[in-house]
Amino acid sequence: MTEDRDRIARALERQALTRRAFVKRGVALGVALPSLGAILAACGSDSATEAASTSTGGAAPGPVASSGLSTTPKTLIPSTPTPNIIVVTQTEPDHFDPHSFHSIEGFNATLNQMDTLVEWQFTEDVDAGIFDAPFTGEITPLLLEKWEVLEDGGLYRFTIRDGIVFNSGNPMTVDDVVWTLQRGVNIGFMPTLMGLGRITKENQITKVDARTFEVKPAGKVPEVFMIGLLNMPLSGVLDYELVKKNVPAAAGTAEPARWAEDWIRKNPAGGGPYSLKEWQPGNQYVLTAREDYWKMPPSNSQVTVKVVPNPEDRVLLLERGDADLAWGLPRKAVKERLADVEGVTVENYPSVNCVWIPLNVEVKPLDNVKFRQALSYAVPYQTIIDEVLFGFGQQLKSPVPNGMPSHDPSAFVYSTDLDKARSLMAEAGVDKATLDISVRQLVDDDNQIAIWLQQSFKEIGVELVINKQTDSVYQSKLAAREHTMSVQNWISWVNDPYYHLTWLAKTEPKKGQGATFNNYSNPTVDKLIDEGLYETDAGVREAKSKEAQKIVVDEASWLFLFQPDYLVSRRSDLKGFTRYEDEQFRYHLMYKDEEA
Amino acid sequence: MTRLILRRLAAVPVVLIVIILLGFLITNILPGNPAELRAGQYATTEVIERTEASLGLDEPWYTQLRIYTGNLLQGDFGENSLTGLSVSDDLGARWPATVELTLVGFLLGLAVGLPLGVMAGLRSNGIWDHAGRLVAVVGVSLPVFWVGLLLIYFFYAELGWAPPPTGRAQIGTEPDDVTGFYLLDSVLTADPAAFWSSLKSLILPAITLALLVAAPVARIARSSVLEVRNQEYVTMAIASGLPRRVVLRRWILRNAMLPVVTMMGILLGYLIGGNILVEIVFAWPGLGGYAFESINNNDFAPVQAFVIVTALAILMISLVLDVIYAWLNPRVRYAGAED
Repeated sequence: MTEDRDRIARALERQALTRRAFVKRGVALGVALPSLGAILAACGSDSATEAASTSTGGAAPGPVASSGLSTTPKTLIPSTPTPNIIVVTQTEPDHFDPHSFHSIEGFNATLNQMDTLVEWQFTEDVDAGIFDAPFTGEITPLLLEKWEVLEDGGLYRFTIRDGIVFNSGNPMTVDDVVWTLQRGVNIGFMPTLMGLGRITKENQITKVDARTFEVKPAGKVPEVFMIGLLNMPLSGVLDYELVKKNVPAAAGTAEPARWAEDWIRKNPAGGGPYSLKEWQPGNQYVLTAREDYWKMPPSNSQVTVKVVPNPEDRVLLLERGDADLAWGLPRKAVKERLADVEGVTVENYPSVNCVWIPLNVEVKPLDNVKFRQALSYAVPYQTIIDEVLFGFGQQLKSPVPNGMPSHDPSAFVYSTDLDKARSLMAEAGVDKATLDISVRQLVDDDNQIAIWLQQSFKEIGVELVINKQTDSVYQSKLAAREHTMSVQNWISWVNDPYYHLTWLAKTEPKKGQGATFNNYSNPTVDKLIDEGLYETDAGVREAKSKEAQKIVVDEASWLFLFQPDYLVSRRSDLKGFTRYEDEQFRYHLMYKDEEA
Repeated sequence: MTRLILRRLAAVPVVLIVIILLGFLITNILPGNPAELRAGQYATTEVIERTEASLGLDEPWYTQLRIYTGNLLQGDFGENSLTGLSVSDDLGARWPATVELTLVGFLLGLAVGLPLGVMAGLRSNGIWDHAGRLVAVVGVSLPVFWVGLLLIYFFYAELGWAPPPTGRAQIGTEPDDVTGFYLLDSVLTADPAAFWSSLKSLILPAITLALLVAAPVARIARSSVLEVRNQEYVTMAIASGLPRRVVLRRWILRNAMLPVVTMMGILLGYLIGGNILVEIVFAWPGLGGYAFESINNNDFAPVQAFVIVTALAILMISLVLDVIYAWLNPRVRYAGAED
């Protein structure tokens, strides 16, 4: 028992847990299979929707008597770890390279095995049984001890925490961190992201001494943006010593060849709460908790992540208690079935996930602003939220979603108004039109949205042809920006309007590089984004963001659809779920409360 | 007979070469680029180009084909662009699952469908005939995934008799890996708990597949037996006073089985390559789901490997069928011996 008390005390001390009551807690939601777009999301969000959360501050409660007999736990740290947590998921991870994974599952498997340099501060909500890590919160050092902003954002100095040990047993050193970041300049999607932080060359990241390294961006970068970039799961630090031991050096150097890409894909080489016990492709992977995890021993000893491709099966498994947590459940089943099942808790949280339809401005008559505006008046906004989201979401009213700083819905004039749409068609000089929308054949949301639009557009004389495609066809046409219309979604990993708009609204330097998807280009918007991105004055940042949002909304190059909620369905006795707004599961604080 | 088998075997390499070429060409013509898949959607152009070079995709197609076939000869099917894992390993991990399920389901289907069909043919419009018709109608008209879902719903969710649909065994009770066949492995490692767990998990998907097999087999067997039964040589045999059992075995069944065997071959080939839906519904980690995902991504290496493996399996099945045919039908045997 003393051991348990110590354990709790240690945990509380290290985490500096603060209690925070937040009211916003909700309904249920099944995460729509987030596509790659969702992965690449950036983080950040602030909060109109979060206004409901009120921090009561307060100091850590200390190791209050969770003396085993108490029926109302004072903390979400269990006295003994749960032996096994079972999670069911749609598909398996693609691989474990934090710099190039491209599936939600890969992202999730990686981040549970690999600590990052910084993380969102999370707080304990004992009543709700969860931890909360909103985008509105602070970013705190994790593998870092501290960071210093020098030269007004022109130079960053980082000090790493002492005594971190990787899963391999190697101690973490500055060399590991520097190599990892330098690798990021070269591998997968990382160069794109690091480029946003004005880091494009390996020599911009340098070791200073045994505990310190510096990053020198090519120009000033505001702290909020630089630390936001570092907060992405992609900054998981790789075990350089282990990599060197396993990967032959490139000819003439001491460095592992090709940044050890092939090896790291298959071998999670980092340090975190879990290590990979086994991976049976197509079947399951098992994570073993590291009892010596530096921060605190995980609240469970093992997590089994089982591939169950059929969503209906996942619903039944959760319902019967054979799974503790499920990914990607159909919203219909969540609402009509699971929400009423005893022993299952369904929660929905507002999310900064954006779902919209980019209108390809190079396809006639979509090059006509009036015509695009006409379409914007013909979208059955509420019907789609009711019928596709089953109410689990809110309307998207700006390219910068509700929940992200500087979100401004005031420019959004569109509503479902077919008369207005017809008169705009007349103004555009378009009598009738035929358009096509590309949908991924396996993604229900795409198909349903397309059908609702098809019906509504018919009313104003626009025939919408639904073009179902396999993923490979869809992706290659998307890469060439050849879709006339398609359904896109996106969560920005950095909850910053400029990070977000750089991807979604800035002219792509080359087709396929960026995420506007629709060949949209407006020099004024580009200029506003460029100026705002590295601006350090918060007021100026906000004003320029609002200006850019207004232009994008006026020009109607998107059909703005919705922000689906983050829907979590879990067994009610599963406590310690951590709500991160990147919509990923962190397993290490989860446990099963036998008394519940 | 030996000559017949040898002749058939000689055709295998030719068929394989054609299959390899077709698989290579088709995957290369279809849209989709493994380098993009591998580098990820938001990779920069430089990263994609580097990936293309490292995968050899910047070479002309004939060079790629040469490298590919060279690797194939060494048993290397290439790598999955998405995961970077070796396709040979992927297939190795998955084929026992598919074969185990297919064989059990197929045999179960035969065990039900054959007697039903034969009895129905012998006593048309009797009770067996009605039972057979019911199985046939159900098996042919209901989509297989729907049957699977219904079975899961009733036997797992409602009644709680069946284990959770989490694949080949309940979580944490899998047998140690020896051959990859769970039933066999649990016997080999003397692990009764794993055997029981694997068997329970196998029952519902096997029944689902069995229905798919039983229906056409029963229908073909019925019509075939009915036809043969009314042949003059059968009437003749009966009139000669031969015991019914002998007539049934030597005249009726032997002749009636020819179309049934053909049907079995088609079904087995279909099941090996295509019980994707059953695998998905029951979270069965077999080849079907793997192929499906790879086709959806147009990931060259796994798709080509799947095509080759399936083609080989079907070739082998048809070889076995030919042998059974020859055994059943002397005309085939003699025709084979003549040339």
